[in-house]
Amino acid sequence: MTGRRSLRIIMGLVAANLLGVAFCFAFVLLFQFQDQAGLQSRAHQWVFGFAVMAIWPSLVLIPMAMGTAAAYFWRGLSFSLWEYFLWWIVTSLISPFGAYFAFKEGAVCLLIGFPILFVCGFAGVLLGRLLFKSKTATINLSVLPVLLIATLAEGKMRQDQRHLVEDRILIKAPAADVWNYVVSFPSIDAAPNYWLNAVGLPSPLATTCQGAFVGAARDCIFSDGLVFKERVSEITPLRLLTFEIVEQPSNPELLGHLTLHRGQFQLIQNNDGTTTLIGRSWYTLHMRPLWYFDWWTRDVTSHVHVRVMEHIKTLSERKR
Amino acid sequence: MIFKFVVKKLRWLARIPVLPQLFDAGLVIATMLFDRPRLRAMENFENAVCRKDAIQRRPHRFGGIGFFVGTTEIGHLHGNGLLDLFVGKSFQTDQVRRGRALPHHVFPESGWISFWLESPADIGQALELFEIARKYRATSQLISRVR
Repeated sequence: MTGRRSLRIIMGLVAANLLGVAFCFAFVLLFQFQDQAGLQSRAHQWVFGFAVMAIWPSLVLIPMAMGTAAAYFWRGLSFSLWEYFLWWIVTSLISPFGAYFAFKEGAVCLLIGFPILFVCGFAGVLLGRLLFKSKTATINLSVLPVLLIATLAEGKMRQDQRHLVEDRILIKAPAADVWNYVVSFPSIDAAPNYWLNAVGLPSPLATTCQGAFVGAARDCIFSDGLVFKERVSEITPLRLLTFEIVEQPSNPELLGHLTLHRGQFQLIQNNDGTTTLIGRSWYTLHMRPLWYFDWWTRDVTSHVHVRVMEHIKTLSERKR
Repeated sequence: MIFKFVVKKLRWLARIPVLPQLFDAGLVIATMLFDRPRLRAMENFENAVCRKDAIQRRPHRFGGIGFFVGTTEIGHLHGNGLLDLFVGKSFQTDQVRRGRALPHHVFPESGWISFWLESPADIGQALELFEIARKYRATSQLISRVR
């Protein structure tokens, strides 16, 4: 590999990552500005709207822009598709590693985000490969407004909404037995069987509660010493327990990505001596694209529900 | 199978900017990982076509690579090696009848044909079909100018 060729490869690699970092920093700065500037509510809304619309760090569009930037620097290198692919693997690994070591970003979040970063970025590389080699420049110009419109559209659609995940399980025990372990339960000894737990995602361990009354403090304890501080907001013995999440642990997997609002257990006494236990969680996801991260959030939340509810089932059925 | 489902049932999604390019990138990645001969055929075909002076490569609106003369599209190559070419209705019927191409995978009654690039052995035939499409477009343009 000649020095000039290596230099162009490295330039593409650096440019792509700098572009990604620049987008993310610009986004953070704009949001900090509108928070600190003390703007009136209308101006505040405009700045906020602009921040959201202009540089929302979409994991679709920013990797595509990164890939296109890399392809620009690699345009004269006569790369085969395989070479584009391999160099994009190297390029796209720099951002997650950088985020992990420099910004202490959560490893699980990065692992979840990497496939979309990689595929979207590679789409950008393929796009750039054609754009910067085509003999006409008209398409080069037409893609820019398309990307801008797509960015604006996604930003405009950004409405943080509460989402609900619900899971249910059948327990062969009456509601009175199940209820004993709903308000609080002793530690879960079984090893988690969800693959993300194996790579560092904390799993639920135990729950403690001041008592079965509205306003009681409840702690949901996860592995790695993480504790969700909760407060009981609604209680109907043997039927319903609702709790508000008053404090989330400052874990990099959660910070700025996900806000958990509320959890709920509902017990339905069946006529055959069994109980249907329903677990619900309400959350707001701050990551985009929503369809992608929401799918993961639902999967993770559902595994937390199932692990806790399986534990409650084991304890309740053992008692019989 | 996924490709067939997407182009037939989810074609409306192609209106969303960059989505077809994303889908095609997924096809290219799958081809790279699981079908190297096909990838080689796609690359060799693309290079052979682009050696022709007048042909320009551009991103296609449905994903993949579009081959153009000026603003006229000759055809496009999807990331899974499916080559779509416009040869006109009479050539389409003829090529399909002779078993040299398939009716277009979405619009079988149109003047488009489809051809699967599966290995480097298919490049010769693909280039012949491409030449028919290029000449058809050139002739049509000439006729419309004379008129």
